[in-house]
Amino acid sequence: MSAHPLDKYLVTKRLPHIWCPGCGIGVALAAILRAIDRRVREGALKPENLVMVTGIGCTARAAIYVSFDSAHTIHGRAIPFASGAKLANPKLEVMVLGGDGDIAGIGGNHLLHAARRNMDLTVFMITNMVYAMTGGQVAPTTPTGMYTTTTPKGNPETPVNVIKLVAYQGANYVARASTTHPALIERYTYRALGMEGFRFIEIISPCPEIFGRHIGFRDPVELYEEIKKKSKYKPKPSLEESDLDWERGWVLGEFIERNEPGYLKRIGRV
Amino acid sequence: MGSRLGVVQALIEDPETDPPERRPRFRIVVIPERCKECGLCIHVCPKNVLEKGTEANARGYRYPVPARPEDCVGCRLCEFNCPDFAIYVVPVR
Repeated sequence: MSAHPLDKYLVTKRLPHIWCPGCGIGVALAAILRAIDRRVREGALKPENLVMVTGIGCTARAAIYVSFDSAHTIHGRAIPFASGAKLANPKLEVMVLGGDGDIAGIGGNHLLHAARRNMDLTVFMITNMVYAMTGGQVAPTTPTGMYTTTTPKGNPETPVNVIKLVAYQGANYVARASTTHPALIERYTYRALGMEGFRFIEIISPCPEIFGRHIGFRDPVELYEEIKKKSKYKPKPSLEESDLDWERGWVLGEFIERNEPGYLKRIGRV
Repeated sequence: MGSRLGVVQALIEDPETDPPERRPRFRIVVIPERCKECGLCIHVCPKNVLEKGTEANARGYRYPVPARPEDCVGCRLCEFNCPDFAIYVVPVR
């Protein structure tokens, strides 16, 4: 009896996980683990040096399912915890996994300052456009005009463009992928793990239960198809194309690639 | 052709005349107890290999079955798109 190829990175006795049927977080986590596996097999990473830090939310449950070191911390404060871990032990490869509510909403301030410092972290933001675990309230990344449980007449606000925000703060790597394109998540994660400084990957993910059902998609497959239709891959997109708009769709690709020294190099810890 | 068992199947498929590409080149393994019946694997398969199952696991989800494994080309899209780590593809030796 063979096992799933990712079982060595998962605590299998905790599976099946709590995520809803058709949730994109599982797809994103699998793609990230495959990229880690590639780096480990190449000898560039050691499993004992991996750390995954998460905050609160559906996505944050990932820390409970991975078999390497992980921390499930307080809401929005995953990046400060991760910065602390990296500064205390620069050998570690620290990753932060969070939802849009955790990273851009509650922890938006920490995101800004970690990017400004070019802190040596890889941050994954899984965007499902609502606060899903608490019932689908409007999030900072909800597109304008979108129905949520707290905006029944449509969201009047402009969503925060996290790609631009992080890019203008001087992050080394900024990319956007989608769980409808798992190969892109894997490729971007693989590239990000080989870099220094602040690396930010946004992953658009369908939330079939709390987001999709509320806006009229009865089935996970329907929402998957809709998100796939709206996601357009571009090899070298400009920052001007990074807006998240439900009507016009969004662009996937690597927006920023710099080779600036990371924070640890700047303070002489490497 | 030891994998082809059963009289009925032997009548339909003749190992002598069947072209070699009709034999399954990949084994599709479903882990029933992890499946949540989202249907993404069935939807993304470009060769329509998987089908909705009729048997349910302990939680009542009807996991998919590889109904046409001989059509599988090993693209692993079902494995990559499964949110539940419940399906994977391995080459047959």
